[in-house]
Amino acid sequence: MTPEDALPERPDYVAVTYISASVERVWRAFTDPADQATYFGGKTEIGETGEPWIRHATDKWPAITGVVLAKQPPNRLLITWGFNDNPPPDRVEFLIEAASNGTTRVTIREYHGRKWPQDITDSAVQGWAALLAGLKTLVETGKPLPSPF
Amino acid sequence: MPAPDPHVEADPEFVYVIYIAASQQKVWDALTDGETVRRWWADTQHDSTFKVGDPIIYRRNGKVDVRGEILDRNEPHSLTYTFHVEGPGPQHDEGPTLVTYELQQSGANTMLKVTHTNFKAGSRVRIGISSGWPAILSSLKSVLEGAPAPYHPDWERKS
Repeated sequence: MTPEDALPERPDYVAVTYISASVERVWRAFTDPADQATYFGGKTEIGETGEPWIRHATDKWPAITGVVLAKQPPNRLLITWGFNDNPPPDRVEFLIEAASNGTTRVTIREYHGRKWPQDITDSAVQGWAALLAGLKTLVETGKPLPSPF
Repeated sequence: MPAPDPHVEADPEFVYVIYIAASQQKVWDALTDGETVRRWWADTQHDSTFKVGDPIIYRRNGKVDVRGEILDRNEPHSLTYTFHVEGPGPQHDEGPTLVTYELQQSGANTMLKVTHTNFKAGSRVRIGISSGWPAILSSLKSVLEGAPAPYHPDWERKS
């Protein structure tokens, strides 16, 4: 596995949303298994740095798993992301940062370092968009976003 | 005004997808009501009938930010217009770009996809809209879902 400091300069994909809530509130929703289950497509467990994380399989989705490379509450999580070890896991960075007027900006940066077919790219774009939309709706309205898929 | 000619040396298109817990018609209405758009579009109103061939003008505090023309309209599925940053300045000199809204039912939500294209190589307009669209569309989602809008986020011009 490539060490964290070797993250490429440019991510392969970036997704951003703004949420009307504090950084701490967003981090809590982002790391609380009960909250996560409403927008992450399944029950998720995130360990500490160096430990594994997993989003458990459901009848709809396979498990996604990887290693926590960095965890810096309430601002940053860097994980490997894969369905198995072959091909090598992608890396995904989540940044939760204060923006102006008490809002919070959530950024997802994905590093996979290879060319993807268009259909995979499209589903990744929609997947990250759904995750951010679900997180935002939950934090802002207290209700989960109905599953878009 | 026809669609602008593509640049020979071009920057890639910008695509943003957002899921909103509202009907397609509600999302369409929010995007094409030039006056109430101001509630979530960082104080910007859109002067337009949103009919094909008519102009669209982004106006903020009385000042014109962007001019364009509605090129295509298929209510409540898609809207395409030209987007030309008001001059004078280097962003204006890049020429008109192209914005398309696409709306699609997705479960109980509407998937809104904004595609912004026709950037020349090294475009400054693309840098601006890359931070603008996520902020604006996040705000639209909040308003349509009855949440407080994240008003005037970072992209606001530091002028």
